Amino acid sequence: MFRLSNSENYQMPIERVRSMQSRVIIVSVFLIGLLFILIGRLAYLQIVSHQDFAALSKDNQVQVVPVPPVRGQIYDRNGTLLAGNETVYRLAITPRYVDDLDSLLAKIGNIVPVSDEEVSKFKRKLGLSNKHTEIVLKDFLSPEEVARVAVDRYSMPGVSIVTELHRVYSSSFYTSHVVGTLGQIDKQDLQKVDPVRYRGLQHVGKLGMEMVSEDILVGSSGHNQVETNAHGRKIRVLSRAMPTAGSDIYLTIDLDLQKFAYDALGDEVGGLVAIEPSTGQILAMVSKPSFDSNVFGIGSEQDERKVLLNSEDRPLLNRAVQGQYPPGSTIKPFLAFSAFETGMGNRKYYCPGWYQLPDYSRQFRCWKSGGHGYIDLFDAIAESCDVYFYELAHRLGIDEMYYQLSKFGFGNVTGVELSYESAGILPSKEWKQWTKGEPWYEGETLITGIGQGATLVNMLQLAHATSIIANRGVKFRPQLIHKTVDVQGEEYLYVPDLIEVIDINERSYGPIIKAMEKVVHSNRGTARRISEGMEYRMAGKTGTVQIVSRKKEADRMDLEKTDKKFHPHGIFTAFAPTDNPEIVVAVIVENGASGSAIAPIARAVIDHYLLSEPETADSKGDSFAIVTDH
Amino acid sequence: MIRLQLSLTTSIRRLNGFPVRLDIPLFLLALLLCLLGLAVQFSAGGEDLDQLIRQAVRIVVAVAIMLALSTVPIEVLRRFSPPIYLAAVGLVILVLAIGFTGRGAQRWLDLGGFRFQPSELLKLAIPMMVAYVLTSTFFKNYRNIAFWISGVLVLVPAFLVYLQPDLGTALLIIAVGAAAIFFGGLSWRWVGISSFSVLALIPLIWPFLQDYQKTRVLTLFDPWSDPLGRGYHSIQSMIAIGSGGISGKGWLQGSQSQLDFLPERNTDFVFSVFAEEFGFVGGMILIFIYSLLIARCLMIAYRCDYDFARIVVCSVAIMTFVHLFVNVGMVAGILPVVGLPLPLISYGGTSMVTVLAGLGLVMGAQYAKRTV
Repeated sequence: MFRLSNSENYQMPIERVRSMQSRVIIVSVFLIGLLFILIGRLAYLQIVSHQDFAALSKDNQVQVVPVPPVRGQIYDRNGTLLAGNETVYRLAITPRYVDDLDSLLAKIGNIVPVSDEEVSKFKRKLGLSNKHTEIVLKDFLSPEEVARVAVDRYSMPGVSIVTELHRVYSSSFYTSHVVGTLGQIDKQDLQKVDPVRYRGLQHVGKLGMEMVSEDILVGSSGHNQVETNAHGRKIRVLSRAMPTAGSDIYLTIDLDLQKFAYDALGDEVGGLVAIEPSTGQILAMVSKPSFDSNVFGIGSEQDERKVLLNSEDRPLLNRAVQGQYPPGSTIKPFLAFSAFETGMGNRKYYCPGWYQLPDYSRQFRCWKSGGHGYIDLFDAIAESCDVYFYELAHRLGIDEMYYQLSKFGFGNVTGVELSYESAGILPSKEWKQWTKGEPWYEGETLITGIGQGATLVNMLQLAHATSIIANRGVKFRPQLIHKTVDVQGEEYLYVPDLIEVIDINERSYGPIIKAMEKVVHSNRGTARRISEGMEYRMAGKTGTVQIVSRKKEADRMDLEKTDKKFHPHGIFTAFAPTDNPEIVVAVIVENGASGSAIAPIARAVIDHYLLSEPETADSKGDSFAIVTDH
Repeated sequence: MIRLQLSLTTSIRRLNGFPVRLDIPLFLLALLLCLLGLAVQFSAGGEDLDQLIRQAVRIVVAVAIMLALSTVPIEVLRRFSPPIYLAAVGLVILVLAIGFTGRGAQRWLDLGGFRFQPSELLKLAIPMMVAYVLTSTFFKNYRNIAFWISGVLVLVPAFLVYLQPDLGTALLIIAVGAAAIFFGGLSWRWVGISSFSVLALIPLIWPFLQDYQKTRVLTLFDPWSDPLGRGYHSIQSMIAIGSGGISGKGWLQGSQSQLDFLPERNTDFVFSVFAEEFGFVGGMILIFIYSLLIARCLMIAYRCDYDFARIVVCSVAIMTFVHLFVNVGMVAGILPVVGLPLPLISYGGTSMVTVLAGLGLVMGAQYAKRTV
């Protein structure tokens, strides 16, 4: 084999070898010492600090993922869906797990179409949020696109499909104000809501029933304990706490009538409320102009929302409950009850066309400049004589008027579910002192008597007050929720909420209802035009609200030539049939010229409701025409 | 010729007529570590059987190399030390040159299918070369010159490896070389002087470190300053080890490794996987096995009266120990993350071959006899 020569191999002297052997021992001891450093460190990590690291490991591995509840749906009284939930698939990216965003976006672009706009929107959001949150790149993925993404997801760490329920309003515009909308939970909401209950929810009711019935609709959040890997991928669900779905709400609204009323108002600005007097249930509530409630949902543009919020027409305002208008002559029947209550019911006054207080120089004019001559209370209602009510107001005094009118709910909220309803104003001496710091003038008493001046009502209040007359004193709370159905299918009926029988002599109702009937059916009634061909008896009252402050000028105004925004508002309130009232309608058309001009809208709505067989299409068209003379 | 010897712990078998010298304790301990390595690889690799088979093949190849080396008489190896050393240094320069000519920094040569790291070869070539110089009759009367030359022979290739850049291996080479010089008989006075110089040099070396190397050292002192960036590896590793507790989470049950939180869990951080799944008890058993392996090497060295063999055996023992100490120290967060594998357990062939070849030298060395 090998020839070995050790001649060139120098060997230590044997005693040096012994010394080297001792070095082996010394080094062994040194190494053992070093090993104990390792052992000590491991003991520290695995025994002393085990609890801490076990918790960190658990944190790494287990994430609590909130499972938002399914929001209750909203239906009309007949079970037609108004606000429902639709599943939306959204493509989201968690930046923390992405190394090269641009190549990832390019890769996604090969799988599903992504527009430049979506990318720039995504990048804007990317700058604002933290690296661990999912940021939506694309909304409304089709199921097919979802499948395509799912197939390639393993190669795209950080990409996820977010499934969300999206609120869809199938009768948007028609029902936007009543049903309302959802909006992003903002800072103010966070202070109000229970954070545990809302875990995982991003939206909260912002308007309409969605807002006021939030508690009924929202349900309660659940959560999953999910094991995730370092890339945020879900491995398995460890435990679940199921969310509780919210209850469904059935409104008292009749969608068919609601749509009809909406169309009947046409392009006018105004509001309409229809109430079933025997229960207080609100059958229709329309506010014009309306808006698309879907604009506030997923995937909509912020610009569209801004337009809505800043529009001069204020489409988000629910004119039916928030719009405050002077009631004009529609206040007269209510004031007429005061005449009976104070024993002045059967008096006649002379109307020369104007009225003057003893020590006042100012003349208060009747709308009919020639005057009504000698006129009693009932004709004064039917023909809307102003002078009669100046006289009555003067004799009652503001304190008595305030007392009597407040029985009908004027100046107070009705208690409808839409808690942001306005209370309106019913003026009194105290009110004026309080708000303006001025004494009450007698002239103000007079104009309060014809529903001008400081008095403000909304259409719900007017319809509510009218339904008290229709009910002969029985006052129900106006009601929008018919019933709720919880997730187990248990129904909770919202029974009519009888507040009181108001303190009015019941013998007053008959004559005054008769007088209101004459408004429509007598040949001198202010709304006589709508009685033509009517198959039932209707009681109503017109009101015309001057916008130009000086009545004299307003009277001389030539409606044909003036800008529409200076036209008076038209108000009409009515119920039918008079002997057994089934529906009350109060309607306002801003700049609608006069109460008689817009009365056909109310008739059309009442016709539609009372006459079970649908009206023929051609007769409908005519009845909406707004007549501009008095 | 070589005298054949049979004792309780050593035996000579004949394989196809070729004598195989086998140190049974060393062989069994190494095999045990390799098997443990396979078990933990299976867990760390996501139960990938192909990967496991590849590693098993590497073990077989490396064991064959070990057995082959054990048959080569240590005297022969001594005479081949200079060419081996020169070849290793040449290959390191070649790798560096390839790196400089635009292929980007790399540490390995691609030899048609498998990658070979010349710096690994240095781990054995350097102690052999140092031992060769220190036992050369040429320097019989110039002992001091022999030590100075040894120092240069260690530091030059270490510097080349550092340029690759591979700080971990460079430091390991220095440690192994220093061990060879120490066991070659450097006087205690010079041991003291050089130890002191090294300590004094540390602040001087600092500015020459690459930025990423500085970061690694700084991160060691406060990994939580950047838990998702520079401190991430270190923190996840400590979480894995710490959450293992005393008895561990069980084989294949380590959430840190199974759920991808641990980086490099097949290679540099394989100990974290082991410690997470087998706990403190498992870690102690593993360290105990290593201790036995190293102790067996040192025992052979102690008995050995042939200078070259003793120096090489001690160096192999120190090499194994430094690998173990640095690797465990780095995954446990007391040493910077420098990228030294855990001997016989980390995935990869080159390190496996180095360690088992080293053990082959050890096995062969115990038959060497003092001839003068």
